[in-house]
Amino acid sequence: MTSWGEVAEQAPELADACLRLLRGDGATTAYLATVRNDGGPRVHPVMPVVAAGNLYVFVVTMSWKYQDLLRDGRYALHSSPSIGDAEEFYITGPVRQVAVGETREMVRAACDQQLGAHDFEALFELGVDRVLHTRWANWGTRDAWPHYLKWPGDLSG
Amino acid sequence: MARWADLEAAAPEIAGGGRKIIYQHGPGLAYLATVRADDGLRIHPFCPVITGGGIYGLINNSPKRRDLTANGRYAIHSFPLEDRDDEFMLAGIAKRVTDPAEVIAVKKAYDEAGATSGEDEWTFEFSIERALLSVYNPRDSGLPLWPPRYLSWRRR
Repeated sequence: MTSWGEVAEQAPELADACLRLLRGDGATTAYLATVRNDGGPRVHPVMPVVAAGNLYVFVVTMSWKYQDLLRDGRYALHSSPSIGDAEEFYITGPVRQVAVGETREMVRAACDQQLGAHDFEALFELGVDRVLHTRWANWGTRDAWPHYLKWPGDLSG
Repeated sequence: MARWADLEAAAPEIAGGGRKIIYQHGPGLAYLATVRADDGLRIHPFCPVITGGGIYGLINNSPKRRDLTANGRYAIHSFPLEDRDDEFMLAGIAKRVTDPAEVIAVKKAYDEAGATSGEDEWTFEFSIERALLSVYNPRDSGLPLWPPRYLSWRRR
């Protein structure tokens, strides 16, 4: 599983652009898509945390998205909208559940203990298969045109 | 398959709340999650339009259009609200609309809502298998912020 930290080493401009939107402070919303048991998608908000260069989310164990991640493990994460701002990104990849221990405490510290205080908050690391950052020129007009940053570089579709 | 009008008839509070969240900024805005050819996921913002008893999207030539054409599976999730954490989600199957009159009517409603178009879009209607509205107290209300009131509906 490729970590966010490995992507940031290979594509620092892309990673910086994404982190400006994501923040990774455990208090900024992003949208997590997961795979339902019938193969269809599901979407819910989450508050990602960046700790030691890697990307994590806490997910409550009584939620459907927790069941999705345990069963399938694939996700897509999209930045929260900023109305009038012409920038967005999304990441896809596999998740890995993180056991109770040092990593969980490190992630909790990275979000000022705002998340992860309860046993029912399961911690997942988000691995990365692809990243797409889009900055729109002429946003809100018929001439809007996207400028992409991608990882891996040959990403298509 | 159920249409938006069926949701409105069966669960008016869900449909009414969902419509308000989708149109909170003028043009309809929401996230659209689709399923890639390798069964992985894709998610992007788009401009839904509710008109003529259906909920539609005008989708330009893009990977998400290829997803919708190939398998049709989708989830729509609302953008966040300023003062509370209400959420609205739909899931089901999208299908391309080819009837010229329906395409024109949807485009008219889309333009009237203030959305911009590149003129190369295909029109898709989102049939609804499930809907979820989560209603929270306003963040500054002093009332408990959790749990929300969940209202859900599934096509029978």
